[in-house]
Amino acid sequence: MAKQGDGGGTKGEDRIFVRDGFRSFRRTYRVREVYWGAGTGAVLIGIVGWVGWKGVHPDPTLFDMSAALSGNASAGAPPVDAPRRASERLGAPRAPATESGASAEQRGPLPAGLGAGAFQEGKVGHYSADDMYIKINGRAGYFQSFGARSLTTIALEGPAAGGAPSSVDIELYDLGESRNAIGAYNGERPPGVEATVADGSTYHFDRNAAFLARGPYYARFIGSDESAPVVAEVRRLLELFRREIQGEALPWGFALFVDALKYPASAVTYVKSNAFSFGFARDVYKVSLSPADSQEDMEAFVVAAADAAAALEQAGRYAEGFGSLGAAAGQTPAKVKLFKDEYLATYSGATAYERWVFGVRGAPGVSRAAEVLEQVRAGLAGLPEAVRARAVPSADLDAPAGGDYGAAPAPDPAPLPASEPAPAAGAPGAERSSEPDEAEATGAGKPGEEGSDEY
Amino acid sequence: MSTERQRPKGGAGRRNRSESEPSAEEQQAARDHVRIERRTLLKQALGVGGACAAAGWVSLAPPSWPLSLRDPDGERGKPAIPVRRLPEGGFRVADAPSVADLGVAHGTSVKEMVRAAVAGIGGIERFIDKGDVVVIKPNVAFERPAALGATTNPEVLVALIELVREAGAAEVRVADNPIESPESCFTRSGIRGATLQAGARLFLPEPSQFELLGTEGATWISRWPFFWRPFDGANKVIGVSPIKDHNLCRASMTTKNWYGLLGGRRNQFHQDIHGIIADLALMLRPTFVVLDATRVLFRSGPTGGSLGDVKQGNTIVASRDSLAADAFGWDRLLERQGEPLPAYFEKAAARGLGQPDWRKLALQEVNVG
Repeated sequence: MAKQGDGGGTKGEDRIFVRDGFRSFRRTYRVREVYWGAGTGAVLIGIVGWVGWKGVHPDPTLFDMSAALSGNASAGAPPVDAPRRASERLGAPRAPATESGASAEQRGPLPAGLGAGAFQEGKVGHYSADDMYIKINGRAGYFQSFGARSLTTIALEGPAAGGAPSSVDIELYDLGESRNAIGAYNGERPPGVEATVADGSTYHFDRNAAFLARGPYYARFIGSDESAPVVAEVRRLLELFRREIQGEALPWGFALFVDALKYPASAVTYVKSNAFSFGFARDVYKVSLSPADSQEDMEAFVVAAADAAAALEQAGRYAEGFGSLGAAAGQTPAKVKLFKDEYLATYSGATAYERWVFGVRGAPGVSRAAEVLEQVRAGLAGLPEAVRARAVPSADLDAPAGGDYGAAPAPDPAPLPASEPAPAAGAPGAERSSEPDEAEATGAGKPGEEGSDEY
Repeated sequence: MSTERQRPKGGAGRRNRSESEPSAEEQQAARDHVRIERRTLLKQALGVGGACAAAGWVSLAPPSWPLSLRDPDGERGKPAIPVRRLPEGGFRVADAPSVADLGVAHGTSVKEMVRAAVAGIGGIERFIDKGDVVVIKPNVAFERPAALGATTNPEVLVALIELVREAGAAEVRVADNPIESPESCFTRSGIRGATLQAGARLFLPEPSQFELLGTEGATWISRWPFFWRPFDGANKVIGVSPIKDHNLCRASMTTKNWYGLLGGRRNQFHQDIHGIIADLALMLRPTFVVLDATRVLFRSGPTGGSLGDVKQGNTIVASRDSLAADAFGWDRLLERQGEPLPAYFEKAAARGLGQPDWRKLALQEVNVG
């Protein structure tokens, strides 16, 4: 029992626990000592209680297996927006990256003042290549295959029409280079839909929506319906983006196929990887040569190599690839080996000219294949010096899709001022509405056709 | 009893004590003292040795041995999270060989089509009893108006809820877990309004509503966070899904629809999209599914965006077999007959989860208003 001021070791006290020996002991303790002891005991009990409570309320992230399953789930750049909370890993739903009133940084490349008239700016979302699946789950891989760097979205909310609110959603993809933007655009452009190429922009309307490739950006304007106010808003936004987003001269492949060889611009596309389902075939410009209503699927293509030796080596790989699909079928007068597809009975071949690989795929006959190859060779030979200087391999081919592309500038873009007038007819970027029948002939741009192993 | 010896105080005392002869009493006391101390020592040594041996056993014995507390990788130290399980055999009802496996209705009246399609597979009374708690899972994956075909048609959902309620269901729950902002997705797709209009209960996903679900035999989701709350106490499950092109798995229909019940970082499953869809077929065996082909997103899926990517399908398909319903949709509604079915059909069928060859099944196809 505690006794105020009663010290230990008083003479004559009975020993309590140790009856002999030399251990120190006291029978009584000061009140202050008891308080300290009680306090210490309470702290210890509290710690025990806390440990027990944590034990039955574990941190969900301890059991999150996703990182292990994904392998490199977050190995790349972190998401642009705030890090996920632990609970979000289990519960999944996430709020949009940013809300209305976003700063200029959050708006990214979105032009200012999008809201006009009856349509007002709503929430803004900004996503990196790694987390754009939040917005376009199931479709993100497509854009990543074209080197997507970010996605910025904004919703413009308009008045209710027919009982339902109207809106226009804008998705703006930064794909790093104009060739990627055009490739992604063409990959989504339905067969038979004509594209307009003007002032460094490539675009088309499709009922309630518009699609635009300009500079390194690919923009989708999606109206909630095809009512007149919504369609008018979509058109207004398209023009605004064409005016406000800086354009670039079209990639060098267009100079070859459109300016030199006079094919319609909408028949030309760019395939970043896996062209013709060949894993090695990257950085390919191709033009569709078959009418839409035919069973043919004939294409000419061109690839820039680092030098003449590399071009020869690559041409050999293309030839080997075509050969793997069929058998040797002679050669053209220019000594280019052709191969006949085992199933399609069409002719394909590839060769090199200086530091470019070029070829034909799916020709209905040897003579037609030879004719096309000779055309492309002549086009390459006649390329202006300025175009030849730009006709080099893409700088980002070895970078991981959707990852850090580094700071190396792409050789192609020649920036155009946002409000630059249209180039003269025949120059890269001049307005070229493709002929309807030839536009339908492209076959290019079938969704999911090419762009990655999945498409 | 003490094991300590009394020490003489001071060297002089020790010398004086040793010089004098101890008395007989003192010698007897000394002998007793020695005997008692030895016994005590032995007892205590035994106790300490036993305690050490026991401690050594529990801490060093292999984990599988009795009483072992060894935890070489720290896993045993983690508290056990309860793993939920869906009912054995899913939410299916008894077979009825005399009725069709696929009910297909064509027309323009959504309500009539839903009723006719369900009637084709035995009628709603076959599936829903009075007092049932029914979960309906639409596809609300994207923040898009329903007209763009990326989400379930709200009119189909309303017709289905009404049908289920007429059968006497005590409660109808509508749930999905859009990866994007759920509230926006439910609102802009029209599913929120449709749910409330039809008198069902809407479940928006919250982190606290997810539980770890165990799926025996699944490749990827043998244990995975699942939107559990709507299923707590439910005894019937109906999936109602649009029919869409999908640039990864080629087509998203009723089987893929269950993907929306997963939590966690489910996007990583796109690396094996066919494997995860086969897992989904294993995870959830529904009471029946409804394939909403009032609109068909035939390209640019799964997000869509242009009305040019959507065609009017004017069809509703109902079936207990989601693979059969999806295969019918692939052939007849996406119009890809002749193209090989996506790989997930074969993977799921290999597990006995359905019949992708819908022509082998009984089909009831009708035209309604």
